[in-house]
Amino acid sequence: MDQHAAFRAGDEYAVVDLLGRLARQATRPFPPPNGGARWSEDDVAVLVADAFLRKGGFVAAAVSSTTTDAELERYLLKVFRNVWRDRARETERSKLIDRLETILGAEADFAHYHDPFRAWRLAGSPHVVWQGDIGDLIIASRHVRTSAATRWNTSGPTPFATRTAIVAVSRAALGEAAGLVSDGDVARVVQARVPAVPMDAADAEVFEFHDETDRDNDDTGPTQGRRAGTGGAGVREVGAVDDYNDADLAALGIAWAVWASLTGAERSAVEHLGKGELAFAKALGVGRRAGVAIAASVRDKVRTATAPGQEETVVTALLRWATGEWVPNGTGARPAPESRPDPDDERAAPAPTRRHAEGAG
Amino acid sequence: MTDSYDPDLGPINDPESGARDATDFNTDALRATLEERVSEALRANVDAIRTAAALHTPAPQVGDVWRARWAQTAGAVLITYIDHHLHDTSRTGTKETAAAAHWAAREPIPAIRVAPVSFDEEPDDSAVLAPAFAHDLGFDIAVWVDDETDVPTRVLECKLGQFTHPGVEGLPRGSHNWGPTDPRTLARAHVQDLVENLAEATWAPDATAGVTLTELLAKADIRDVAAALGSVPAAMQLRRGQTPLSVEQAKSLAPVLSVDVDTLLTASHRALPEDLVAVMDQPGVRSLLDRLAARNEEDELTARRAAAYGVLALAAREHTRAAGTNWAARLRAYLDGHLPTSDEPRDTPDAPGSPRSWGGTWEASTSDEGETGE
Repeated sequence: MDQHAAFRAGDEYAVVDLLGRLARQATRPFPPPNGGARWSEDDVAVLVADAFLRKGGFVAAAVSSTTTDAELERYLLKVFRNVWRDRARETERSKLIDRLETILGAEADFAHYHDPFRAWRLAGSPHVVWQGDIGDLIIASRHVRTSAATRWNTSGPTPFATRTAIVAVSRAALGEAAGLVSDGDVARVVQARVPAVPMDAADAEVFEFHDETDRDNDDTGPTQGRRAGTGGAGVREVGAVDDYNDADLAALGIAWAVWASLTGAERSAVEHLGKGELAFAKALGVGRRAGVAIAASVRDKVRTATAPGQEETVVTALLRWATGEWVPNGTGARPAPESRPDPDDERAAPAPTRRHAEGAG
Repeated sequence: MTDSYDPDLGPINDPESGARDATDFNTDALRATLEERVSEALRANVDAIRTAAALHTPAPQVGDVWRARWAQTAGAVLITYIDHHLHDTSRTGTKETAAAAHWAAREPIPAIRVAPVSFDEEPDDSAVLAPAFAHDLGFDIAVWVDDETDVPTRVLECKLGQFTHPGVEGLPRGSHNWGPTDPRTLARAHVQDLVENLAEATWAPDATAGVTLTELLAKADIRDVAAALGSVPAAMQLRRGQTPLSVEQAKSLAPVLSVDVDTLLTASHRALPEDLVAVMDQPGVRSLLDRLAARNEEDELTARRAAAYGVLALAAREHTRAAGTNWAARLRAYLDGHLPTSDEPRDTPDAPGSPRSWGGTWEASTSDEGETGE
């Protein structure tokens, strides 16, 4: 019996076998979990087990909601990728929680507690445990424009604009909660609302900068100097530096932050955003409502990340990445159109460091 | 190895994807790991797959979870309401007795109300969480209750499980959806697309559209028609509309008239009796039609229509008037003649593939009314 037929018949060996092979394939873009050179079979096994823990009936869902073998495989591949991202997100959240102690702790109106659990409260709010809905806190912070928060570093002080955005979002969320909110929930809100804050390890790598000069400049605003203002998006990638002013470079940095925050489906959607609902959905191979949802998510991410006057530059950059006209390859070259970036590649070549930019010169 | 292709990842057997490694993949070791860490979840998922594969099609009940499928759209749904009063109550007298009469007569159910279900997504505030103990599926599921929709019974394919108690009252709603970037927004959009497509599922031809068989034959050379049919009288009778077109005749005539078989059948029979459509829409019939389609290497839609017109032709040959015909019996006779049943257990009521497994809707047949020539 064909493997897929055996899978759909509920042959347990066939199920496990296909899950293992697809999980291995799904891990290809991602760094091995233990810092090794490649994913071991144990790593893959843990990923599959994690999928069962996090996604419950995902195998049954794959069988019941797909009608072809290709659809079945795509469904399972996406599950494994999403599980990897969820795990990475939680790892980053732990790091963010520690960093929030430094950032929010420096603000006079934030109070941090360790009993009965680690939590934050705004001065003036009642000392009661918030037991509401995390969605309400995220919604309450939606009005905060997080534009220019495009830089992150894994060590050293947080860049000024990013720190400002984190404080503003946290203040809005805690104001809505009017009580004690756990560190984890505050971190979740910040992750959801500030584009520079990495959602997973791949994002962290994208945003990391190594140069000591940049670290020294982390109190500067987004337009301070061409190199500092790019947010990591390679200066050389956009052509001659002299072609762009500081404002454009800042906007390109924001575009890079937005691009990094897009899911694979959203990246695929960028070049079709001008189409009508049905044509858009058809281009993505999804239903009409799903197409509307994907488009709305892209637009919302752009809206919240951009300041007035930046949107056109940001959207142009996104389109160029989406169509492959630009590829962030660290050397600054503009490749031929056929070397199109994989929209689902969570590890799209990391943004060049200053060393890369100088080396390409 | 499969040659499936994902535009983002390439084919699974692409050497760059590690296929060479895949051939050495230790499935037994993975299985041991999963048994150790997540044995219940693995078992629950495998059991659910096996249940789906069994194509179990009992009479749908409120509280059932079914796989629904139409064309390339598929997903799981929870049946939340069945309106027995949709049926013609004239024979049963009053509405109050309609429900009892329905179950006594096992009349076909034309439509049901369903809520889409997700096995691996978290609910937002438009959905409820049904924990594993609330049903027999073995894992938590999200029921998108705000997206309840009426769908035709024909979309039901097989039963996957059932709730311990039929309703969803008391089940907790998910947390508030925070907007377009909330991943549950897309999850909900997918299930909305699902039920929207299912609600529009249809197969019976539109009786008001298209050209008639008479018109098609009028344009053709009668000698070509006769040659295709192997009979001049048959050609003349068809041209005059004196006899229905059989499926075999349609297959012979299609190339002569330069139309496909489906169009020809549609043209020859402008409308299908509603009662016949209702009978053929029952879940128990579907697996048989799927087998018929596979046997004839046809898609499901073509197989359904061909079967329907075949049943009509059968009834016409038996000089049976359309009104009051026992379509269930006619359909059973048609499928018995077109499907091999020697290897199917006929004495097991719900055995897939057995005509007697048609969801119990065939157990109590209605008497033929107005039949002649018996």
